[in-house]
Amino acid sequence: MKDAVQRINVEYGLNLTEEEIEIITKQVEAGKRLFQKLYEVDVEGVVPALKIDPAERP
Amino acid sequence: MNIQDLEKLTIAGLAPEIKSRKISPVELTRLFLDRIERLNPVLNAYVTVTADDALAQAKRAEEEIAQGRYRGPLHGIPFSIKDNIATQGVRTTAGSKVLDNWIPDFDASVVARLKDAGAMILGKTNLHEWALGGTTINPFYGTTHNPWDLNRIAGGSSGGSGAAVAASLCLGSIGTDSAQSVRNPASMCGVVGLKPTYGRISQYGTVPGTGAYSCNHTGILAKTVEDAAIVLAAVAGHDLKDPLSARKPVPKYSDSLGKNVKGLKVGILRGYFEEVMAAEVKETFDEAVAVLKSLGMETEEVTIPHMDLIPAVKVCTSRVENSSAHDHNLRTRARDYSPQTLYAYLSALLVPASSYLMAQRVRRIICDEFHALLQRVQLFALPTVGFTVPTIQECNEGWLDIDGKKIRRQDERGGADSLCAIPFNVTGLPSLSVCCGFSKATTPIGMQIAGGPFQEELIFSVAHAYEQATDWHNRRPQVAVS
Repeated sequence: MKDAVQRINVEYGLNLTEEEIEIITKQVEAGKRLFQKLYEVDVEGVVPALKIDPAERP
Repeated sequence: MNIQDLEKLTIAGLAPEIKSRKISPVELTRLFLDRIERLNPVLNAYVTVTADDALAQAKRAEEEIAQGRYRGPLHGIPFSIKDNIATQGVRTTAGSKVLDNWIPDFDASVVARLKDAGAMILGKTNLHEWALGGTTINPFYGTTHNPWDLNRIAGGSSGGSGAAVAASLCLGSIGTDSAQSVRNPASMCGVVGLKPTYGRISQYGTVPGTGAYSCNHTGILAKTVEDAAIVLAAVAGHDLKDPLSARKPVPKYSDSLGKNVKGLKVGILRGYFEEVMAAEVKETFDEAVAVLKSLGMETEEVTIPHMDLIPAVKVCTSRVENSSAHDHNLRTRARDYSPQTLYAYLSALLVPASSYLMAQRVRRIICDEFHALLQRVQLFALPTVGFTVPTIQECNEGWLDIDGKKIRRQDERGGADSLCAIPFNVTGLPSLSVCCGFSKATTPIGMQIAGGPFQEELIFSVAHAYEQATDWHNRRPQVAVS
């Protein structure tokens, strides 16, 4: 994951310090762990909620 | 009515006096501007005060009313606007350094509607940097202090709006709520905060990147439920400039006040947020529920099967949608963000698209589960924030003391202060925070009342009945000016 952060650092021209790269890497990893739970849900046939209440949309 | 006693004024109380020309909008505006001059240096609720514009608007209002052209209950009423909502000719910073000199050449639709209704805009209120947090400890524009205790936060991200309404530096304020940001400061400052149904109020003119596209709502802070109902009627409705605004007709919300609430079924929402709930908040909330029961409502504890996944859905959705709005600035002005905000947006760039879509699929399941629950109960109730108002020092240190346990204020699920509020950002269901008591430290505690899509009338009728049965809304903070 640290490699991915370093790629962003270069692509965006950020000049992040090593310490900053570590902080961001930890945040990305924490997010990944949090989002992992989403993949455990049975979403067979479930359409993404890209509109919250289609009946009420224009 | 004594106009000098600004703390006791409400929109509902003032409107007939202004209409009958017993009260002058110009005089009223001058009194509010004097109060802002006296108290704002202590509270830091406003980042910009538009005194000349407000007086010009007041003079126009006064002339129109004198000519018999009364526009309605907001005519001549002083408002404030959160500083992430565009105001024509007035600096709009979004609490950021990036926009520290941006002067929009247009009004957000909600501002335009307020002006059409004859309201006066006193100025722009402070917020958390880019509305991304719940403390309104802002590195660029300073910290907003809680009027009930200056050592404590006013909540956020619309902290300036909450403090301004509570301290009577305006009679109503417009905020935004992507995770809690209207209801949280309303709760912490002891006022009413409404996050209406998704799409009920146009979001055109809200600064992009100050709330996730699909979770953000324009909301209202006011002193009473009745005032919030009056404001919603004026600003709600479809807007051609906002394709996500709803076409539903706008009812006269104040007609819902005073309706019989007997027999309504209220679901007491249970879930993950209880782990950060202080005993003092639980006790106060239980007492509020007892009041609802005394009004003839039935209650039952409810939850949904995927409740625990709400924080993951919310964080994934918000991070991705927010960071997309910041891409250009991250490439060109990264160091104009505070480090904490910069790291949050950069880490969001690495959330896979598949995770975002999975979050939206689980979100659909969660929405369906809430809608199924709404077949059993008509409303939901739960505390607005799980713990009492923290001190500024606690927030700066990043830890909270909840019943002797040290809890991180922020973890991978977002701010601990947002956990009770986010179910209604994920689902888009309307939710209102009303003051339901005070802590031992004499800071306010809020209760959320939420309902089905576009059920704001039902929420208003229950919240108003609760308000009338209690006295919390009549308390006002005594702001100490040294």
